[in-house]
Amino acid sequence: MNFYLNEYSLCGQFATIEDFVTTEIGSIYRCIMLVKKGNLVIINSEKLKDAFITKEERLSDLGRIKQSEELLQLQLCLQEEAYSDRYWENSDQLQQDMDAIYVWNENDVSLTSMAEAAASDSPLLSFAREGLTDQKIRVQKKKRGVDNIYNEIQSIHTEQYLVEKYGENLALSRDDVLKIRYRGTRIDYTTIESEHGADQLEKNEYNSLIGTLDKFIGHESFNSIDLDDGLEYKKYSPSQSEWNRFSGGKYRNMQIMKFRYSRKERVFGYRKKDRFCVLRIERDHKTSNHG
Amino acid sequence: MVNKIMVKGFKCFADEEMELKNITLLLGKNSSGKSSVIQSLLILKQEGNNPFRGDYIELGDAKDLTNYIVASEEIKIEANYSRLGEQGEKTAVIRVDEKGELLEKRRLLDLNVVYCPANRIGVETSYEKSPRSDSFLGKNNKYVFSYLATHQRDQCEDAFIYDKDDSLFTFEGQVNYWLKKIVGYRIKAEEIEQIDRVAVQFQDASSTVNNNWVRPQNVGTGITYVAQLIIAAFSCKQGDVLIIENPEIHMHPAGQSDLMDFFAFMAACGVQIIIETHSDHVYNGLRKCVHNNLIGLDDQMIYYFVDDENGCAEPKEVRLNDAGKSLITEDGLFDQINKDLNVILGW
Repeated sequence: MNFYLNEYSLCGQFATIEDFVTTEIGSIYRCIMLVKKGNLVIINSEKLKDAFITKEERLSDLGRIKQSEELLQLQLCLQEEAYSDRYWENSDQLQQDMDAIYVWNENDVSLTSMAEAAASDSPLLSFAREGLTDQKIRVQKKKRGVDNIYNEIQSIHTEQYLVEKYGENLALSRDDVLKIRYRGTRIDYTTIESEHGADQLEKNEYNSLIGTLDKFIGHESFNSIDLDDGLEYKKYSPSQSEWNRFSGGKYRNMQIMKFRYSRKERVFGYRKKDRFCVLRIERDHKTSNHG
Repeated sequence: MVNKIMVKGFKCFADEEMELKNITLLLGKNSSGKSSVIQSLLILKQEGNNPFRGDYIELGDAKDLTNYIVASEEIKIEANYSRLGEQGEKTAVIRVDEKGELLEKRRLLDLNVVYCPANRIGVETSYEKSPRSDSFLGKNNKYVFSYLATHQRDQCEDAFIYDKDDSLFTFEGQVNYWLKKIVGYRIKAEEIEQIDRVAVQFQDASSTVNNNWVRPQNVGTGITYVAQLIIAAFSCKQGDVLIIENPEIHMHPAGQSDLMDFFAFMAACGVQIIIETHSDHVYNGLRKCVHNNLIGLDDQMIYYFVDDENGCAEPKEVRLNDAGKSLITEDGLFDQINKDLNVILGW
């Protein structure tokens, strides 16, 4: 499966480079890295480096700008693309019909990645641009003497949408899926201890976990979480030190909390400011029995 | 803990003072002043009339060490420090004129200092047995494995036990917990009594074969180097100072990053750690620890050394936010990858 990095979606829509760096790079970077991690192919256009970020500055101008770490991340992940000769322009066999015109939103997108993706029925990885952000788009192929053909393809901008549409192709673990699903919410799943993650769960337990985590982030505040009898959100407090499964310097300065996601299953973690950092998913109540 | 050090007229320093925290990183180009800070601390530990020659370092004589740029007539090194469990701050001072005359010596730095120099001992067939019973690891850490052989069955200080579910509570157990976590190996050391040497062996922690212990020559060089640092850190007690030059030596980037988790943990436990490095993985590793709350923002300090207008060393504080992001950018501060990528990508 191939993804096309959509240079057409970068058309000078950002007011400043800072806007681009702070709001945009993380999203496209995470999508690119997920696709690469899934051993899927990203096809690039040699026109990408000339695409405009602001009205006056192109992607290739970023090297002259004081570099940020976000930009470095983007550079590092594009570096492989630059060397891999995966420019569709260099392909022996272009997917798009050179005798046709490709139209999206009344714009001629012939000889862009939009047309190439549409012609090969492949998804796009797009920068944030109206009409191209996490949605199915329709590209029209017009050719003299032939009825118009409409191709519908996905234009992906966020990792959440990428996982929703192509999660199975990306071969992600459940813990990876949960990290992505809850990024930027009240649940921080990046802190999960791998040996206590969601991969141990049966499917119904996993679904219960997701349902409960969704409920957790849907709450107005930690006050309302405290008052939710179903969650039973409370301190983990073993009465004897030998029963404490969170001892040692690793957990120093952490007040371990727990809540239920099914009859006997529990989620353990700690609160950091307005977020709950998940450490362990328990399915046998052994830890919870003693605290 | 050393809270502050003032260095005047010594090598590249005209007159500078630096705050030190639980963990302090010293960064900068070659010959920018990083090692001179470490040497200043060690000078305050060395006994005798020439503080520049001693158990820790041999720097020569005062005439070779005075700052020639500002034509210093004397060297003055001063440190404010506090001892665990004692009230108030103490001061250690050494002042020497350019001829080497000791002008002032007020108290040595009364803290246990463990120093891991860049030229620490490497891969050997066997290692020297320490003639001493204390925690002195010897010049170039030559007794570090002897220390492990002597203390491996000792109970580890409770505060230093990171994961009580997954490790033995002995000195050896904790060394091996971190060695496995960082590079995937275990170590054992045994005295060879007849010849006063110590034999060291390593085992791949992921192996299912029990007796596959091998000599240091038969594992990656970095395994021996990182094992030394872990042992050196665990030889410390709360309140001690651990100084490390280039912890990254022979280490894979992933190991360097994990090693910083270990140092951040030990620093949070009360061992003061001072690290000189050229590695962005060490720098990023510390910032990751701040992000992950392994070390408090106020418990770390990063200095980047630059030349001032005269060519003397000037320490610039690299301030972080609580997410671990640097709040300053400086030319040369781990920006080489950006510079090279700009060329490669044609940006």
